[in-house]
Amino acid sequence: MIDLSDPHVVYVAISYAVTCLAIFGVWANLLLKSMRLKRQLERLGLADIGRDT
Amino acid sequence: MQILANPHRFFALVNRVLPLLWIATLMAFVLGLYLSFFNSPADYQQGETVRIMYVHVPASTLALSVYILMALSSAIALIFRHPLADAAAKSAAPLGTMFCVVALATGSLWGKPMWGTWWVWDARLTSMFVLLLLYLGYMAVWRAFDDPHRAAALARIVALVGVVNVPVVKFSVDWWNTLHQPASIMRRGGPKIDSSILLPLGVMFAAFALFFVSAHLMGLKNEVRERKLRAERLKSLSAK
Repeated sequence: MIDLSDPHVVYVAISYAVTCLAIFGVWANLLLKSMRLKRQLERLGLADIGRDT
Repeated sequence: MQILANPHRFFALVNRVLPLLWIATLMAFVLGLYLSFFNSPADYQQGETVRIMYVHVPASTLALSVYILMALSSAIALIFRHPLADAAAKSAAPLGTMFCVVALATGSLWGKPMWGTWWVWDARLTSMFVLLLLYLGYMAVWRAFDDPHRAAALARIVALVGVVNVPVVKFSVDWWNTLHQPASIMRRGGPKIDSSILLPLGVMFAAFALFFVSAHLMGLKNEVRERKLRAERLKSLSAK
């Protein structure tokens, strides 16, 4: 188990925070872009990719 | 393989598989983080900083693997003209860049307490930085041209020429004297780290890889949607 009294634990915390932020940022960006593109396709009356209607 | 060359069939399959992949990614991250923080020992020399390895190593490995995937996709686009190959390479690039940035940032955060410095221009760190520049260059090429066919032609060359840097990154610790430690997992004779550290590392690697596959499929879908919109706009412009 992690020992929070270790003086270097702050480097571990920042590393995990940076990683989480990067992963979450990429995921959120993809999700928002996908929603925007789906809306644009709908507005043009086109079916989303991989769907028949 | 030829069946999946049809984007409609391919994305019908992706739509079914993607939610399951995201659930698997989330579960792998939860398990990986639990093992990393609560079920693995501190190192006798490095103390708690060894836990940085559980994010640094998967990010670095994926940064290299994604570039290889980009080069392979570019080669397939060049040779076989597969309709999704360029899109696969293009949508992989931001993910590879993210892994590269995470690898460099966490490496720097690991280097400060262990080496006493945030950064040194040694072979491993420099070649990894060059990999980041190649990713940025590849993405810049796609944005630099209005015509996607011209952009694709140049981007393929960047991906294929840049892949030369991948073995340089991998073997830099063997070819030159570096501050970075030599390979301890993917080496002849098998891994030389204890199984109590290898297990969380393996689970975190699986989580990162699952994230890449899920996010890449999502990015690929977005890329095809953009193409569809572009084609529709061109159609309406030519009709006017």
